[in-house]
Amino acid sequence: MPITPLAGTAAPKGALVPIGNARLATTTASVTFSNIPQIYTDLMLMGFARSTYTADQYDGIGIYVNGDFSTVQAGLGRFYQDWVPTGTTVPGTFGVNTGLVGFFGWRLPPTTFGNYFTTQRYHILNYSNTNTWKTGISEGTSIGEGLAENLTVTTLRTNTAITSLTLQSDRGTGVSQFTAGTVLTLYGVRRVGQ
Amino acid sequence: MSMFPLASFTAGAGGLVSVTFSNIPQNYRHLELRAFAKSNANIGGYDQMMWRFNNDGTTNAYSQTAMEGTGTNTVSCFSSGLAYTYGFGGRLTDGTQNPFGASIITFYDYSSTVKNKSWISLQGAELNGTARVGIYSGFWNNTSAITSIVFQPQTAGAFGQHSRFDLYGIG
Repeated sequence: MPITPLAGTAAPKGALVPIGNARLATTTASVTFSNIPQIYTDLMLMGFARSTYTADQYDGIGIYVNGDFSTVQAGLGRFYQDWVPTGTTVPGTFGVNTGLVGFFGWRLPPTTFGNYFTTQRYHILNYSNTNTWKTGISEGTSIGEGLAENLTVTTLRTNTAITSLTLQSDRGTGVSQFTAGTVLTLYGVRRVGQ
Repeated sequence: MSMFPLASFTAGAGGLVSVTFSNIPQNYRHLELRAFAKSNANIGGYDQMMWRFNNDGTTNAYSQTAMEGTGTNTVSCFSSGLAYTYGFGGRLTDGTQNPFGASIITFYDYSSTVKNKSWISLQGAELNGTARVGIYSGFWNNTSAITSIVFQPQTAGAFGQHSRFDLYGIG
């Protein structure tokens, strides 16, 4: 069945605004979205990514905020819930970690697993608000120790507005990096009046 | 996918007892709600967000199901015979806590007048070192087009300050 575009009149103002996009042509240690405009309400990160990690395990991605890569930070803490139904193990696995440095990201497949990339849609709510902590919530696929759905929720315990996000392996860039072909796109989500 | 902002609410210092989106335009394919919310009461645990379509409080109007991770366990639930749809899909955090729950709910084909309605969501929250995250879905046993949705906390008196509700139309 052919699908043709709907005839449009004047286009209304959309809610999703592209902020930045990285389509990696070569192996890349990290990707940073900097100078994030403070005029939106939420951020949405969409990723299709793969890791150079060679062990037969997932590679975890950290989403680091405002250039902060410290392992322990007074007054800051992050929390994630990671729920991974694998399709073969019911009800799946889960994890909790109160010692995260950044938002808990997703799980990338190692190169040893084949030519697979994993998808993730990551929402960071109230990123520009200076009166609240921030909440990140995500869903995506994981491949590496099975095929899995991956859900996370993370609290970033700071009122500071988010002005930059850096994505890199939480094993360290000396251990693994993004492979060529990885695509990472950041959107701003605006609300009425923005 | 094109998404367009329709209406927004933000709780001030006094909180919001409920949030009502009314006169919802009928010219989109689907609706999406993005909420960043907490309760304003110290209930010693999670609160839950409830909602109702077109002010339909009829018994048996709603049913819902959930797959949720609790941090120490995973659970799946099903409830029917409800006069509200709520709960698993609407985690809020305690009024004494700084974390806010996140809810992204999609209401499919909301303007149809020949289909019962369904929704699916991704929601989660932290509470004092524990957390819940899950995917949830539910049904409204009614073919009416959704023209209004009211949200309110299940237990607490109001949504806490800085809670935010944004409704979008998806073209």
